[in-house]
Amino acid sequence: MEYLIHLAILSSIFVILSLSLNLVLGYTGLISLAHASFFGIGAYTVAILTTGFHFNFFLALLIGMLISAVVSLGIGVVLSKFRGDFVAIGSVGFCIIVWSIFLNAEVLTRGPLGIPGIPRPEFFGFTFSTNYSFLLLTLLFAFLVYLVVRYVAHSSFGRVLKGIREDEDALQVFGYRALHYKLAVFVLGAVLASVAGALFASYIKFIDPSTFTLNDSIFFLSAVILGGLASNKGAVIGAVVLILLPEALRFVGFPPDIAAQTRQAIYGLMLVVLMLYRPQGLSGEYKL
Amino acid sequence: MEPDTQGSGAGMAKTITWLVVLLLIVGGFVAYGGKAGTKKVEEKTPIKIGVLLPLTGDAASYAEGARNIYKIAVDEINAMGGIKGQPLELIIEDAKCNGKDATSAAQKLVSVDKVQLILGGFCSGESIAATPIATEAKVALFSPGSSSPDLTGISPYFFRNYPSDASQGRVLADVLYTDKGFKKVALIQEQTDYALGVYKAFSARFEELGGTIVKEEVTTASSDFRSQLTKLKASKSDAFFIDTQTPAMSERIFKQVQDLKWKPMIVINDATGGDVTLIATYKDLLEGGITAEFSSDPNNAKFAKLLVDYKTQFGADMPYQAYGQTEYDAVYLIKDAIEAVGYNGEKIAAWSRIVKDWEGASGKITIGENGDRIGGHTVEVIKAGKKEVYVK
Repeated sequence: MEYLIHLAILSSIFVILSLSLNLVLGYTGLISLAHASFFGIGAYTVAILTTGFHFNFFLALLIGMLISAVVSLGIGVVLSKFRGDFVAIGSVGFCIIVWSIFLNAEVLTRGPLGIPGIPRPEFFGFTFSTNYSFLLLTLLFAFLVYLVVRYVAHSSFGRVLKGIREDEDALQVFGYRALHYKLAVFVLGAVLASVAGALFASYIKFIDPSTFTLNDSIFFLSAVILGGLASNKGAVIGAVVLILLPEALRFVGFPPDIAAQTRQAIYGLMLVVLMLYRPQGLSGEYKL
Repeated sequence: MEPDTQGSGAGMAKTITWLVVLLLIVGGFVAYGGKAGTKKVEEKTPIKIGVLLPLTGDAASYAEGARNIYKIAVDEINAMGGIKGQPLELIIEDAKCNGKDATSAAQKLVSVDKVQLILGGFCSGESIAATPIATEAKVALFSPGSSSPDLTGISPYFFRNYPSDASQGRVLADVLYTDKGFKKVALIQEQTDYALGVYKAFSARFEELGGTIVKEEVTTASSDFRSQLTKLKASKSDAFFIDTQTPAMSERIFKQVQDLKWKPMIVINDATGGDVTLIATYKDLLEGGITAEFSSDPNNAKFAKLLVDYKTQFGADMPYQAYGQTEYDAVYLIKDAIEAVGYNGEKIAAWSRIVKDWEGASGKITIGENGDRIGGHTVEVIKAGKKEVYVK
């Protein structure tokens, strides 16, 4: 059914986001609230290049990943001067800056009007125009991202990341340059987030700055924390739950006059209850 | 390992929390079930119409009025026997004024509720995102509030009875340049899709005619405009165009213009022009000012009746009247469409293109081949806190 396929596509896109953020937040312990910016950079690159310059989706996707890498490297260099909670505050600033660029660089992004008519991906003459084929494509991407993230997490590189999270100073004593590791994982997370952005733009066919705000960063953060920090399975579960829960609540028969508001309240309440009784998330190994 | 803290206190708290959750859900079921029960007496299968509204989020203030107006119109139609005996039923989904939630809501309406027609979206972003879904499913999408010029001719399944922003920007530019002879206009624009759409249409026409615009932008969250206003004041322009999304934003700007002891000739868009109380409050500042508005003719019997009905049913004045009139008309247009061609998205969309001089609360509605309402804005001049139709 179309609706379920739609939800599956959205879920897979958000799974990519939470998996990539989990690398930064869960494994390395960097509280980044700039993730929506990289999601947006991927989305805007694809939107601008495919609608304005008739690029192929996959080429635009690669360019988006590249731009995201460069931008995140710049942001990462600044953020790595901070420690702990200050990273969060610094990244909030970047998130707002990038959002302001989306909103004000009208020549490129059309500002608040957004970019309509973004085409679906095309691959050697085959267009992913049906939602079913698009779902297969997003699942493939989500799976690839899962493999990348899993590989990184289980490698010796991943163990250093966990070391940074637990005790950065101790790690430095052993001769690891924590700064390089933090930068590398931040850039990797940003590149993967831009993949999600590209898929999102092409799927919804319309983007505007309202999808890439600080609120959305917080949403991704919630998905990771809800699923469980430093657990890839958890990141997947967290994203899926956060997408499906509000949709499921559409079917609970609240009085029509206050239905939408009640849904929001219950959604919030459920998250609070969950965090109260499972502070380590649904499947996490570590607590903030 | 953390010690187990599940003492009796925590256990108690857990039970209470679950009780609250249970209560809310069960309460919802009971309340809704009760209402559904009374409806079943009619024993006729209702015609289900999907609705997209920003029920929560930044634009939620628009949704309340819209929902109330839809309710008034649907109740009236159902009281008169519905459509060929079948009552109308609205299924309202929250689209939150953004593309992601609008697509989820539209997809749910199309594939779960199997509606043939969706009323909405309200925000242009909702409509633009929902259009591909409606087109794919051959469902008609009818917006009474989206005014983005991007929606013009977007799909054969999309149509609207609210005019495009392009129409008001253009008429205002014509009057200011050609009639008034203004060559330079200062403009403050809120960074939203609507205000930008108006600006684009206005600047395209005004600059084409040979005028220049000095523009400053402000975000929705800002409340201090003194630096922008000082700059604009210094530009010594012939008029000052306040292009905002909401009357509340305009009011903040009005106050600070007064604080600066600036007395420009003011131009406002239809979102602010529609707020009669605001215009009356700032009558000295706005004296001789110009606004664009489409219809909202106080002598229109349907519109006058709607205003009274709204006040009696909901105990408050109808908010956002410019949208209210089109929302009310939209429900009646749907009724006529279904009576004419049946409940079929494709046929309704085709029918919309032949709507001509349809008499509604928002005046005569004619919808063009591109799905846009034809005509639309007229220019009005503000005198002693009241609007009058502008004559050259």
